[in-house]
Amino acid sequence: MYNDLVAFLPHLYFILKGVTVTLKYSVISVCFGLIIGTILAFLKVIDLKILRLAAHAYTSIFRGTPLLIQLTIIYFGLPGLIGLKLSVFSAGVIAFSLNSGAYVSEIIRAGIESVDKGQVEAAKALGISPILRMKDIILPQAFRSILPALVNELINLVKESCLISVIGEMDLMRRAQVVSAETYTFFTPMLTAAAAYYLMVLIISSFALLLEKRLAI
Amino acid sequence: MIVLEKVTKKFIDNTAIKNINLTFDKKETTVIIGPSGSGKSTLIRCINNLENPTSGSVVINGKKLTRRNRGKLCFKIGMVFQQFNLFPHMSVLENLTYSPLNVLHTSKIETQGKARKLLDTFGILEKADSSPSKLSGGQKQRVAICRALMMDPETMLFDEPTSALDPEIVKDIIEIINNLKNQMQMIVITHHIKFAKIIADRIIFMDKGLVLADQPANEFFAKPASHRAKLFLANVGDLM
Repeated sequence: MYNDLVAFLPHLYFILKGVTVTLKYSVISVCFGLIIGTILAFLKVIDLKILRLAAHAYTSIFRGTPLLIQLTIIYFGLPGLIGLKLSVFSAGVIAFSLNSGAYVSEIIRAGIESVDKGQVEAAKALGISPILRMKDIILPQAFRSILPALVNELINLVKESCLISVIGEMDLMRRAQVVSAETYTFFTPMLTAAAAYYLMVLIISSFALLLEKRLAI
Repeated sequence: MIVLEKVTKKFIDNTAIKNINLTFDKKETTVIIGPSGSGKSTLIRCINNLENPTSGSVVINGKKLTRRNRGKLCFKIGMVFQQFNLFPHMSVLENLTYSPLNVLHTSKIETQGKARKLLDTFGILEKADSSPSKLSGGQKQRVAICRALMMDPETMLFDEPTSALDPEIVKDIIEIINNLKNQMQMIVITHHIKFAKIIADRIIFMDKGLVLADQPANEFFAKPASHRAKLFLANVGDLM
């Protein structure tokens, strides 16, 4: 038993190096996802029908098809289609960001719409312009209901980023697979990877809890 | 001067107000009464374009009000709501100073001084730095009135300002509104007939989206111009 553990240590180190890869993909993608999602959310709440429909169509498509297929199309499909060959990293970040943007836009839109209508009316009655209304009255109030859902989205991305292993990135998942193949055992490497994912998620959610408490009124 | 010309507002399943013609030109206090669903709120909300009329027009100081120019035409029209609608993420003082600072671009020190003075006259200066959630209903409505007054309105709209309050506090708010009388034009919706009797110079009685009576207050209570209004007064008279 002890010898087994010592023998596994190098593998353990090898697998855990994947944590930074996984985090790199999820954090960068959630940032871009947030930007895309915010823009889409605004398009959904403004008074221009064409833009609103376009934003809804985008969300519908990216939420309605598997992320793995989106990733595959971007990495393997685009070169044949328009001759655009992307690196594994860019393909991954683009796929995750586009997909996450769809979810984030719904989160933000719901947050904006959750703010009491009376707030908008009071602001209108005081002559506050639409831009200031959004920035100073609605968004600060929406943010409190948006935050927990946004953290969920980050957690989802951390876990779903394991799909990047399919196109060859050496993330947590892929490393665990490599060790499994080398040692002919699946249990320990996969358990190690699972534990690493779980720890990351725990850390993220406890940070979120702290933030939520500080934002509460 | 506010003129409503043939204003009609339709919602998906009903017509809230029909072909309303009204003029508000004096510094008087007009009270709008009538049963629930008679279109009182819709009417008052058309005046500052919280509702956009389906047809007809609202003319403010000679200019036709639209969604586009509502900011320019309506910032001198203050409004107080039944549910207060204070900004919960700002302190009481910030609630008062936000629009003067950001809409009228007044100086910060002056505006804060003015806000504190106003809070003082309303007896809630010690709440200046509190969050609105820490206030009682009556205090919230005072803050809401102060917030509207900060914009130096020429007209104040009150949409059932006392309906969400404890009966004991209603009196305080009525007194406050009565003290504002003659300083500006006021249009008030209320269910409290006693309140109407105290403050009104002019009464508008509405039912089913129509204006059935529009008379000086003392004349209205002595001899309402509409039979429906007489019935209404008889029915609610003893209660409120």
